[in-house]
Amino acid sequence: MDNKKINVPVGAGGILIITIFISLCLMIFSVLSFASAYSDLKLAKRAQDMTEDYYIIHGNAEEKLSEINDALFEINTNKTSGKITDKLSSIDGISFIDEGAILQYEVYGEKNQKISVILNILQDSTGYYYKIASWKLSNIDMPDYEDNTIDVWKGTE
Amino acid sequence: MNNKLSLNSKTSLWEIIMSVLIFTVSGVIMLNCFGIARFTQIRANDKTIAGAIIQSDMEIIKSLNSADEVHEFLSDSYDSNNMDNGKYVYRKYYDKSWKQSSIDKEYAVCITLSHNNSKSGNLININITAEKEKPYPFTKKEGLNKVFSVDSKKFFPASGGSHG
Amino acid sequence: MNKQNNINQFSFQFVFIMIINLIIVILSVMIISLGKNIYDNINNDRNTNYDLRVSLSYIANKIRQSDKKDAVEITELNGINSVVINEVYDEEEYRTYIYFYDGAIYEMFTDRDSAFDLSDGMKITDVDLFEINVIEDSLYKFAAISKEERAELYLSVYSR
Repeated sequence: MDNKKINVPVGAGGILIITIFISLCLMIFSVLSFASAYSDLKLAKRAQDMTEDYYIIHGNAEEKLSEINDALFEINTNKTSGKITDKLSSIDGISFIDEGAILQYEVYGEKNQKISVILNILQDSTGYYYKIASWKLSNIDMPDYEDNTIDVWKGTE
Repeated sequence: MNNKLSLNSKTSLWEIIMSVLIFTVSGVIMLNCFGIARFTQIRANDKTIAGAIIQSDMEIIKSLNSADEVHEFLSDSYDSNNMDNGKYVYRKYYDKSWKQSSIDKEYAVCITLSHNNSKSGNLININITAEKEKPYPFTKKEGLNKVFSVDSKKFFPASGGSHG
Repeated sequence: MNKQNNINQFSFQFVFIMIINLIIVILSVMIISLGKNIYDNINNDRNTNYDLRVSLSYIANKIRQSDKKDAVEITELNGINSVVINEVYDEEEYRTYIYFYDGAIYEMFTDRDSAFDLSDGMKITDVDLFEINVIEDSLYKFAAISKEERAELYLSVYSR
């Protein structure tokens, strides 16, 4: 009679390997989901920052408008003589086009945005008043493409 | 003839314990990750929708001609209003699908106005904030209830000026 | 009897290991299906957010950047409202049309008096519907619908 001993290492390392493999795949999947969602959140935050900045500079432009209107009101109330450009010159940041008939100023934000305001200064029986001709949003600095070019091929002679 | 079938039972038991432990730990991490991912996406959605609502209200206020019209518009379209330290506060509520509802108050949009009367008109400081009533799950940081907020000003000339 | 014990021991351990395996597989499948649903939702929301956000912020920025006297108007183009932005370059008058056509928002830059086909424009983004309404003289309402989600934005033009 022969006694045969058969050693069967059932599942030797098999379960562990499979479990680790499955866990790794699922972890990658879950991290990928989070990365996708987080990238969308970052985009939404960037859009939020730009919008907040726009309304802050809009508010500052309105504040400047109130200063200009206060100055015009004083001119109308006191009926002082002299050019209105002299009276309005005391307000920071404004400049004149066309001998005081057109007034402009710019308000800057922190996200490369600015609002450029152009006012027409008009006069009627009650006195001077403004009319908004332009309230344009634009970039402060435009991207500079010139220095970033790379010569790929200069051609053959 | 006797054939003995022998199993390395000690090694198998150790592997089983390890694999269950690894699976449990990684499962908890994964479920956390999925939960955080889901609510991160919900936060992004909320920012987009709240941004459109807040901008719309701000633009409507920009288009009005007097402070009285602003208060009239806000009284009509907002659910509640009160005074707080000299500031006018208007609130409206939205449900989880961002539909205006005074019953299911998942989100609140709050406008705070303060008046600065100048010589020739009224400069109003405006703050519009959208907040979630309950904090987002899976987040423990404070201040994450605020979804979107803008600050601006609007000038209404009483005399001497014109917007057209 | 030893043989019987061995057989019992073998069956019990084998079954136990297989049950553990089965539990791990079932839990893995559950996690995978949960993850798939979450990932699907995330992707759908991302795409919808992108369409709505891009369309409305594109219009908002275009109008804010062109807020000059008589520069922005809403006119009818082939039966639908479109935003028209009037510009002058080198003393020549040009117009930018922004309109909804064939499931997308299009932009067309052309001479003031030139006629064009709606399909000639440049596609900006896909949306299911894009509505432009005039609320008041200088207040406009834009609504974008994408995958049954609707977003609205009011915009006012300051210069008149």
